Amino acid sequence: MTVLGISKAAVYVPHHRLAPDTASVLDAGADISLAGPDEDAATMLWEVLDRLTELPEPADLLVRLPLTEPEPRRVMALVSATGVASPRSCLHLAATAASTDVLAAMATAPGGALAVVVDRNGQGDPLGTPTPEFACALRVGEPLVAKVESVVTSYELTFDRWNFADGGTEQDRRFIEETLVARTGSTLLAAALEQAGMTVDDIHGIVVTCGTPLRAARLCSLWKVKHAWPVLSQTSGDGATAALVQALRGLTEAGPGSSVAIVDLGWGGGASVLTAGPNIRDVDFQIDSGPRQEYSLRAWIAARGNQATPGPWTSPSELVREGPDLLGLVGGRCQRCSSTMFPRPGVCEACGSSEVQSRPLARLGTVITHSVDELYAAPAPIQMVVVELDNGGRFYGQATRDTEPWFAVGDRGRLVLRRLHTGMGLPHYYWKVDHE
Amino acid sequence: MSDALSVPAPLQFPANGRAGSDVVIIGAASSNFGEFFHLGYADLARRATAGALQDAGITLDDVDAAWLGTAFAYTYSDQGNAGTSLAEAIGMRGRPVTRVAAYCASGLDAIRQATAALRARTCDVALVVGAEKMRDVGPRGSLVMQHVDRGHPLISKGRTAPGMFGLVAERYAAVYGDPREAMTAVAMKNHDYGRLNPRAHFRQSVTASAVESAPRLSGKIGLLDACPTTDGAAAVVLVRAEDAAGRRAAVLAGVAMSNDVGYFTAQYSGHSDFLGFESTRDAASMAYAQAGVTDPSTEFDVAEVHDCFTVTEIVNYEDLGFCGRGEGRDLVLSGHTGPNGGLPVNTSGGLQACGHPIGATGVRMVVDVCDQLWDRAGERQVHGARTGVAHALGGPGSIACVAVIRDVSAQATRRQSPLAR
Repeated sequence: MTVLGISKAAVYVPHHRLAPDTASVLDAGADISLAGPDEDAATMLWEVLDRLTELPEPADLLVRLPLTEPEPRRVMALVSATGVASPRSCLHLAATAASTDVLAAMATAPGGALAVVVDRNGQGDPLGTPTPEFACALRVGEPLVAKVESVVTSYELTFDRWNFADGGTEQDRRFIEETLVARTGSTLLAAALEQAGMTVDDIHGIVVTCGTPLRAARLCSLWKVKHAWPVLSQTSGDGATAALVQALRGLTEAGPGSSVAIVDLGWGGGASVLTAGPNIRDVDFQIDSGPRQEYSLRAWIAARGNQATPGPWTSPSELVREGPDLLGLVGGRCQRCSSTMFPRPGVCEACGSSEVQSRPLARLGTVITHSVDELYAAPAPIQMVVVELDNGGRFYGQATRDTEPWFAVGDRGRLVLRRLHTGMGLPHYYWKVDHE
Repeated sequence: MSDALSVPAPLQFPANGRAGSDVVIIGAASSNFGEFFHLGYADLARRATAGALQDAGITLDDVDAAWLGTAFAYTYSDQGNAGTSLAEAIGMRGRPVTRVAAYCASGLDAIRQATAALRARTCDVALVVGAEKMRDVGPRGSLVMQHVDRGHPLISKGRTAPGMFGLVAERYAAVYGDPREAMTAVAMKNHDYGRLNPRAHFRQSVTASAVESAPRLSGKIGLLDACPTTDGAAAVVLVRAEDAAGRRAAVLAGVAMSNDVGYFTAQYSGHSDFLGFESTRDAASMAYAQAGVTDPSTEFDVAEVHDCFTVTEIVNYEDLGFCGRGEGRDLVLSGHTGPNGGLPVNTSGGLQACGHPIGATGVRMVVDVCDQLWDRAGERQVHGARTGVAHALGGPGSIACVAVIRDVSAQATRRQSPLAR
């Protein structure tokens, strides 16, 4: 393969976590990042693209969305309408594509292409054990963040993805470790190292994705590596982002020039070796990025269970008319008196002139007032916020948080894309206010 | 209702500087306000109409046009979409009946439109009825769900009525200081008055601690800072002054309405400073000019203002010119707007205690001002009241109506209010 460089990378880590007793009931780690009730794969993809600076315009995209997102074209329509990127082409990878499949596809993508990968758990069984949710964006270019030294793939009848109840029995785990991991995994790792011209001694650590939980110690002893980071990758397509993010974190830990391998296992699998570039430490993993929100068990079930309640009434024709300006945050600027207004009015509210031109508004501003409402979304409160935007116009809408700390007058706010509701079965997205 | 009228000296009607005749109120009545499962929309409209006609000493045959104030149809009642709902209820045939919708200012705007029609001589005797039947659905089945379920698919999500005024309370706190104590004082004052009003929805006093520990609705607005949803109707009969010779009457010395911001976009507008409402200031300015009022802080004896939430009454004082900007808290805390004060406000109990059948409220306010001017307010009487003002605020402050009403005939008896402390 030709050498693949990653010139920029961004990671979006959502703020929700499980409350300790929820984590205990779900048998999950208490610190895994989870999307909020108003976030989905579309909004997470939006967030990570928003964090990637200097996007090419227009952009060639390579997108791997999870199974929870059935309409990639809707996601791209939101990306385009909100102006976070201007997609010229978009190759959608299957929801079950692994991280090494993404890297292999990136190797054939045009220079400047953006790969975006999102992990988000499935819905329907809220009592299943959730896995971490994030989004990751990588830009093809000079190997400033990382260089992909090799990518290999194999397809084998490993018969590994049967339905493991409760993570599998001890015998299940031993079978997987002795067949898939020990044989297929070892072969893949060796091939990737050979292609990269390296040995296992050059590797700081290995990320391994698999459909059963693996033990890090077993992997380290098997492959004689210093560090191993197993990632559970179930058929809903989670795990690819976790693998890429873990690989980037391993490279950040060890610093520029260090190398990390990824081994994805499933019906054969793939492997890749990455080397950290000089800018690896520019990647922000948002470790301490502000106050977290916790899911009680009730809130988790409400957010991720089967949602039978129909959403509110809506009007697709009203949305077709008004959606582009509302989601594009396009306001109006009066040519006569220079007042700026949002939403864009037909006549200037200050002077009555009809010479109002479109003007995109800033997504940053200052809170001028607010109110924590207990009625609208009961039982959880929501805070409604009025933000004076930096280049004119005002926004009035919901804050992203449903617990303290609330916004206060004078705080800075940033408009972010979130899912509002699913009226008539159609997901509706709009701006909400997050802390800057 | 009033006793048989004697004929006083010829009535003097101050010139209002506008073309056309003065318009006077000759009959005013209200149904009880409350939750009435046994009374429908039509029953309430009929009761208010019968009361006003009797008070005016006329029959329905004398009425040649009617206006109906109902804010929302098909939200919690299937009536009120057109004047038909009133015409059918009272049996008014062969004459125009117009439904007026201006959110919470519907009733007062209906009075304004009837006044304009009388001045234009398109009718001679106008009946105005405000009516709303809200309690056939549960409280959350009405206005909250209207915003959750209907309204704009994107920009209305998260709005609630308390929430829109919660924004005012927070901004007021940031700019002038916490209005909490004054909000509590408004709740206590209005419920004290409501206790003495036989027509009010809620007829018991509330303590400061009950107000401040009540469940929160939005921001500083708690349950006892909010008006209830209510069933009720009120009615007035209007004629031109020259046709009211010899009758007890109150002149609509000034009546105005102003639209200033949108409904879904009010909070986005640069016109909203969240410290008051431009629509109130504009409507008041126009009504005062018509009525020749130059100092609203001293020229009114009684006022009915739109206290949908306690903080709203505070900013209404400022917008109506009862005090300066930022001085609303002191006005209520000093007792100036209470029973022994210089300007008792909401002696009916206001929306807080009377309740708020939306379309009826503006008409009910005029009825209550007339009761004060005509010495019919019982234990809540402000002795010597001659000039009153009614103010209604619609939507999130989009619309406001103000009416200045002067008695020109009655000589009020001197009576001490039992609320005096």
